[in-house]
Amino acid sequence: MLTRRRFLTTLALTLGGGVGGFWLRQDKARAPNLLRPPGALPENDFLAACIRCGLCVEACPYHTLKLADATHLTALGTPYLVARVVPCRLCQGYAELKCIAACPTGALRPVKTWREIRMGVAVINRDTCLAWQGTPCRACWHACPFPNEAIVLDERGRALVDETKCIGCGICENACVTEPSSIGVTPRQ
Amino acid sequence: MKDKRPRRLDRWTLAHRATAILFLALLFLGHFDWFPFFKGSAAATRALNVLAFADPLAALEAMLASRQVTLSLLIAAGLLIVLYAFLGRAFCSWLCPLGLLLELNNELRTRVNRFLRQRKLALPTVHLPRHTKYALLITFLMLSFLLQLPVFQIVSPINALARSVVFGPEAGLVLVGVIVAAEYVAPRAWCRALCPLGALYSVIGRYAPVRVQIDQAREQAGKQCGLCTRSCPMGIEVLAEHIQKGKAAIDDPECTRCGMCIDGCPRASLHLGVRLGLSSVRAAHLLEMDNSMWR
Repeated sequence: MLTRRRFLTTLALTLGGGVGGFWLRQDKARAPNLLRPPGALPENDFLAACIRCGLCVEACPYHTLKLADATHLTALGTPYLVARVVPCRLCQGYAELKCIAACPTGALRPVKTWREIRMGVAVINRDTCLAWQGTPCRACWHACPFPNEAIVLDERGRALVDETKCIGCGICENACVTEPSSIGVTPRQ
Repeated sequence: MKDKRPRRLDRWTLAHRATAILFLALLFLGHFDWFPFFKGSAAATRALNVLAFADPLAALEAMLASRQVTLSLLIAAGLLIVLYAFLGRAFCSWLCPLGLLLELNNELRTRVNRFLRQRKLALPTVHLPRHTKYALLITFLMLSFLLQLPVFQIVSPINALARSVVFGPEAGLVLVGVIVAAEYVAPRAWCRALCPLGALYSVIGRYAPVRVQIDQAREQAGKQCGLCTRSCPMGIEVLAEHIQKGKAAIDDPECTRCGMCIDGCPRASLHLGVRLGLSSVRAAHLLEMDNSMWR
């Protein structure tokens, strides 16, 4: 039976849900490009599947992962990392990637090898990179878990990123000696 | 009016509050590397590094939002669904961090109100309809599907509170604060009338065999003092269905099995027990009603 009260409740929820939903959709469109943990689904699928429990953050042995706060509501409580601060160390020395093993939702999908990871891709800023400016430096190449594959040096000792090989762990961004870093990971979409 | 009965130990009240505090303490400890036994927050937890539990609403929303069924999530939520199909809405009083906070908040409200009454003042009291939370649940599920986001997990004050305890304060605490403040005007409105998670647990635990049972002989020897109803945090009229229909247990889906009615009863007429199926009207009671008709 449609009582007055029930009608008002339904009306309020429909209006509230509509306005709130529209606002959230706008917020989602404006959401920042965060660097997600390894194995993360493409951003939109990730935002849908992640239940914001923080288990991956607690599982990370390097304290790499952080939970996003409410600068953007859509991303609130989702895990991300700032590679310049702490990059993804790929759980070296462990049998598995801890964050993926901890995820109960499949928002982080298991990978067979490191090479399958596609967090992002490193981009070199040739205007500030020491090697590209003529001073010998190969800090990123040294740090890269796939030297001569993901980061290769050309005949003049300058670093180049192979986008098909780079997994986006951000170890290079962390290792770069310039400030700000001359190599940075752009999240893959 | 001053309560004259001697103070007894409120066993169930203490027990469920202690359990909720323990749960929160475990979540807090889980944040540290040296405590690998229990990790997570309100939306999902993992015990002993293996066994994962997922909030059924979070799982439902995530699957609606991503529009696919995830087996691991189904298992993690399934464990809790089975548990609460047996225990009813027990999560709300025994584990929920927000439930704990609001229960303690309500104790404070009661004292504030008593203080005000002595000065011939009173807090206004607003009652929201209980079914609002079911409408909210449906709204959140539809929004999750349409926006492809687990919407309640994003705005949930339960998640915000749990994550704030585990990972440090976050912006969602504002909503928690708003609810805490609002409950001085609308007592226990969140748990009673608004919480979609509580609504889902009410549905899951509709036929839960663990229920507060009524000892008929003792109840009838008593005076129907109504202290059980007064002590119920969910505002259930505890004995109403027993008196009207002769039911031998509290069948109300809102019951969180907190046991505060048991503690409140001066004659120990109530206890928590197991009974399969909703309690039916007792034949003896019908007979009694029949007799009374002729009197």
